[in-house]
Amino acid sequence: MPVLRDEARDEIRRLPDHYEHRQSALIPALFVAQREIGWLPPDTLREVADLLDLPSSEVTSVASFYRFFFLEPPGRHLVLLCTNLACALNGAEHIRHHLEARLEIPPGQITADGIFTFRESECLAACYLAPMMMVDCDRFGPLTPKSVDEILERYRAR
Amino acid sequence: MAEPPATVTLTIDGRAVTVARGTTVWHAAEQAGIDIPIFCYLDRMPPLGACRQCFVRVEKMARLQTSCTLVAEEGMVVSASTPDVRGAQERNLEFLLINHPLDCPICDKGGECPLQDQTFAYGSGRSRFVELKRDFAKPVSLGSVLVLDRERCILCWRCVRFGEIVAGDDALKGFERGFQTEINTPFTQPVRSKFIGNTISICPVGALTSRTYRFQARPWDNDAVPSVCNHCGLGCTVWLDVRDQTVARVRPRETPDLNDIWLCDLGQFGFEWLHAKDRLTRPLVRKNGQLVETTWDEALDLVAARLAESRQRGAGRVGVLGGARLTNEDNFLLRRVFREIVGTPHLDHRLDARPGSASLQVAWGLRGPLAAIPESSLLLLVGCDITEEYPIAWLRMKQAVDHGAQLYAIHPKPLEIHRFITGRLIHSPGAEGVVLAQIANAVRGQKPDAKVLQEAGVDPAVVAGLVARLRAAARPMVFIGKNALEGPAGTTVLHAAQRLQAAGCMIHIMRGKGNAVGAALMGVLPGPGGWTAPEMIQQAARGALDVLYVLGGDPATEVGDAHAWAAAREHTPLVVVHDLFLTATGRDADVVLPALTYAEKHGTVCNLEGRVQQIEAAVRGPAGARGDGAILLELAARLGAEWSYGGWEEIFADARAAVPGLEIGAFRTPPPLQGDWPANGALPARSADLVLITGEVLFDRGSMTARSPAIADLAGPPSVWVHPADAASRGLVDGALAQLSVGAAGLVLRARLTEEVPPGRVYVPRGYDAVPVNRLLSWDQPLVTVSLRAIDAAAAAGPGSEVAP
Repeated sequence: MPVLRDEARDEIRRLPDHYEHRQSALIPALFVAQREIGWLPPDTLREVADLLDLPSSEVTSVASFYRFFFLEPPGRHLVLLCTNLACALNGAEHIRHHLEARLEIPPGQITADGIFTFRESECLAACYLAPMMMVDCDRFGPLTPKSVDEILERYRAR
Repeated sequence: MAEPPATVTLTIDGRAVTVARGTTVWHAAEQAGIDIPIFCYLDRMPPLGACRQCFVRVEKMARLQTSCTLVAEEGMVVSASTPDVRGAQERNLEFLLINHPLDCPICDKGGECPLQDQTFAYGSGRSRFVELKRDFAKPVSLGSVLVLDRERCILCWRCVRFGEIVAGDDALKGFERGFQTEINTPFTQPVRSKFIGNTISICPVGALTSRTYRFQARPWDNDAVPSVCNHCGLGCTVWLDVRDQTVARVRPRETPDLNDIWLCDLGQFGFEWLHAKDRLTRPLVRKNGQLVETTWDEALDLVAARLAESRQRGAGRVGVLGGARLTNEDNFLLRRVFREIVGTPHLDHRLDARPGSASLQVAWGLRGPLAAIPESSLLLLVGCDITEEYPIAWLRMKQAVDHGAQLYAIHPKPLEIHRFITGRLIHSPGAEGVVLAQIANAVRGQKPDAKVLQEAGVDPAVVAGLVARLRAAARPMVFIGKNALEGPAGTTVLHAAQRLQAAGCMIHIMRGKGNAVGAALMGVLPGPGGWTAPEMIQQAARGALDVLYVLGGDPATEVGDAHAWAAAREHTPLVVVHDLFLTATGRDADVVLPALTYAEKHGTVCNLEGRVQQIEAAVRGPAGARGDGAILLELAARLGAEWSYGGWEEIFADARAAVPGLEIGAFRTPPPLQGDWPANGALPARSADLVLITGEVLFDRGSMTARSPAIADLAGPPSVWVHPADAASRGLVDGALAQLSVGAAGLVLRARLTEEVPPGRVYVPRGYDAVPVNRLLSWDQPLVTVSLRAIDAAAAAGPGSEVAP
C-alpha cells in the first residue's frame, strides 16, 4: 500500500529519465522518500523499489550502505563525526570520546531524549576543518571539546 | 588490418600454454593443469576480483595480479608458485580467516569446503590475529531451507551475484559497509527465491547451509547416486546422496546443456517424501466397504481375475490413467500389459486434461534443446508461468534476456519475472486465443484490430512492438503452457501458433511433469478407437468401464473437475491404484498397491526435450512396496503371458525395438506442430463477477510436497490471491479466511492481497491436495466466476466447509 504522497511518487517516477540506468535514480529517490517520511521504513523501501522497478533487496542494500539514510527513526538532528585520515591525525578520536560522554551514547545510537543521532562517518570532504563534524547540513571545525559543547547546545534548542 | 591471431601463447611456471584469445590467466593455468586457489570466481559468472586469492606474478607488471580478471596476452610470463606469490596466497588466507570462526568440526561444509581445502594446501597453519573476531548471532534462519552463518562468510559475493546474474531474483544482498558488511536478506526476512539452494552449492565456505541437510551427514559418509529429478518435466540431472539407505540430500549433477550446475529449490529440497512415514507397504483391498491390508498374492490375484473377467466381456472395458511418474520401462510394460494382454486401447497419461482440450491434440515438449534458448532474440510465453512450472528453463531465458533478447508474456496475470518482460500482455481470462491470433495475423501482414485487442485487455502498442520484433527476430521461440492449452481458447492458440511456426517461430509445448514425455513415447496414449483420459472418465461415469487402473496419479485432485472424477469412480466396479501414499483417489479405490519411487528404480526417463536419461536406484524403498514394472509383470504372468525380463536393460532393449531412436543420451524431439485446429475468434463474455484463474505453482502441498516439510513450508497455506481493491470492497484483509464459492461448492482459503492479480480476477494455486480447487472447476464451464466473502474463523468450522490450515 502506498505510503508516500502522490507528488513524491510522481517525483520518484520521473527521476530515471535523468539517467542512463534506472539504478542511478535510486539514491535520489531514497532522498525523496526520506524527506517525506523522515526515515526509510521497510514499506517505504518496497514502495521505492516498485516505483523504480528495482528489486527491493537492492534498494534496501543501497540504503544500508550510506550513512545519510536511516533504516530506523532518527533523532531530530544528525551528528556525523569524520574519523578518516586528516581528522584522525588531528584528534578525531579525542572528539569522539568527548561526544560519547556528552551525548551519553556510543556512535550509531540515538540520545535518550531523541534529539541527536550520532554516527561516525567516512570523509565529509572538509579536511581543512579537521577534526570536523557535520550536524544536519552544516559543517563545523576544527573542533575542540568546548566548540562541540556550544554546537550541541545550539542544536538542542532547535 | 589483419585479424589478430585466434590464440595467444603465454608461459605459466615455465610452461608454454596456448589458449584462445580472451582467456583469463586463471583459465589458462587451469587448462595447463596448474592449480591457482580461488574463492570468488565461478566460471558461470563474470570475474569480480573480490577475494584476492588468485594472485600471480606477471613479468614487467609492478604488482601481483588477480589471475581471474587478467586476460592472457601473447608472450606473458606468469608465475603462480614463486615465493612472493605463495607468500601472498598465505597472507591472503590468513586475512580471510581473521573473522572466520574455524568451527569446521560442527560445520556442514566440512569435508567439501574450498576454504578448508585451500587453507590446508596454501595456508600457513597459524594466525597472528589475536584481536576479537566479528561476532554475529549464529546461525540465522532465512526461511524454510536456508541457514546463514555470517561469521563464516568471506564476502566472496558469489551468492549475491548468483541472484543478480543467474537467477534474476536478487534474493541475497550485501548490507552495511566496510568492516560491517554482511550478506543477508533485507531485514533478515525469509528468503524469496526458487533457486536459493544453488547459493548453498556455490558458497565456498559454510556461510550458507541447508536446513534439510543440516547435521545429517558428512560428505564422506554419502554415496552419490546419479539420478534425474522427477518433479517438473525438465528432468534435471541430480546426485542423490545416500547415507544408511536414506537420501540425505539432493544435489545438482552437472549437465552443461541441461540444468548445467543448477537446480531449483523443489528439486533440491523436495525429496523428504521419499522417506515419509506413511509410505504404503502393504497392498490394500476393499472388503465390506473398508480398505484392509492384504498380501500381494491376494491383491494381484483379485486384480488379474477382474481384468480377465472384463476381457471376456469384450475388449475396451478397461481404462488406464497415469504414467508420468513411471520410468520408460514401466510405461513400456504398462502399454504391453493393457494393449496386448488385456486388449484395451484406453490408455492415457494426460489425466489433468479437459475433454477435447488442445493439450490432447498436440505432442508435448520442446521442439529444440533447452540450451538453444539463449540464442533466441525473442521469447514469447503464452499461458506459461515459467518460474512456477519449469524453473530451470527460466535460467536459460534469463541468459537470453542478458544477451539482449526481448521477453513477452501473454498471461491473465502478471508473472513474478515481470522486471525482465519487455511487453506484458495481461489479457482478460480466456482471451489468449484472440490475442495470439491477432499477433499471428499481424506477423503475416494483416493489420491488428486495435479494438479487439483493447477488449481483450491488452495494449495494441505492445502487440505492435512484439509483431515488429517477431518479424526481425533471430530464432524466435513461443512457449505455450498448460493454462493456454487447457483454457477455453486452446485450439485457437494452437491454430495461431502453427501460423507463427510457418513464419519462423519455434513452438514449444510446455506441458507435462515427471516422465510425461516418456509415457507418451512408450505409448501410454489412446490406441486406435481409444479414449483420452477425460473421455475415459466421462465414459466410466456412464458405466462403460469395468476397471479403471490408475498409476502414480491422483485424479481425485488432478482432474480439472472433481465431480466428473467422483462420478467415474462411483460407476466403475473396480478402481486399482498404484501409489506411494494413500491419496484421495486411493482412499476411494478398491485395490491400492504400494509402489516405489524413481529413487528406488533403475531405468530410463525422458524429459521435455525428449532427452533419454538413465536413473539408478539409490535406496531400496520400504519393504513390501514394489516397482510399478514388477507389479505389471506379476499381473502379466497371472493373465497367462510368458514374458521373461532379466532386468530393466532387457525391457529397455524391447522398448528400443518398438521406439526407433530410443538411446540413452539421444533426443526424441517431438515433431513441429501439424494439425487442423479450429480457430474460434470470439472473445469470452465479460463478467461482472470475479473470474477464477488457477495455475501451477512450484511449491505446493501435493502428495509428495506435503510430505516434504521444507516445500510445504515454502508453499504456505492454501490461498486465494485477491487484488486489494476487490478485497477492500469485500472487507477482506491480508491473511484472513475467505470463502470462495461457485454455486453450492465452496472452499475456505487464506486471502492473499496482492497486485500480482488484476482486479476482477482471483487466482488460486493448484496442487493443494487438502483443499483441491478442482471442486470449484467444471469441464462444462472453462471460465468460472466465483463469489468471495470474508468469513470469521468460528463460522469456518461449521459443516460443509473446509478450513485451510
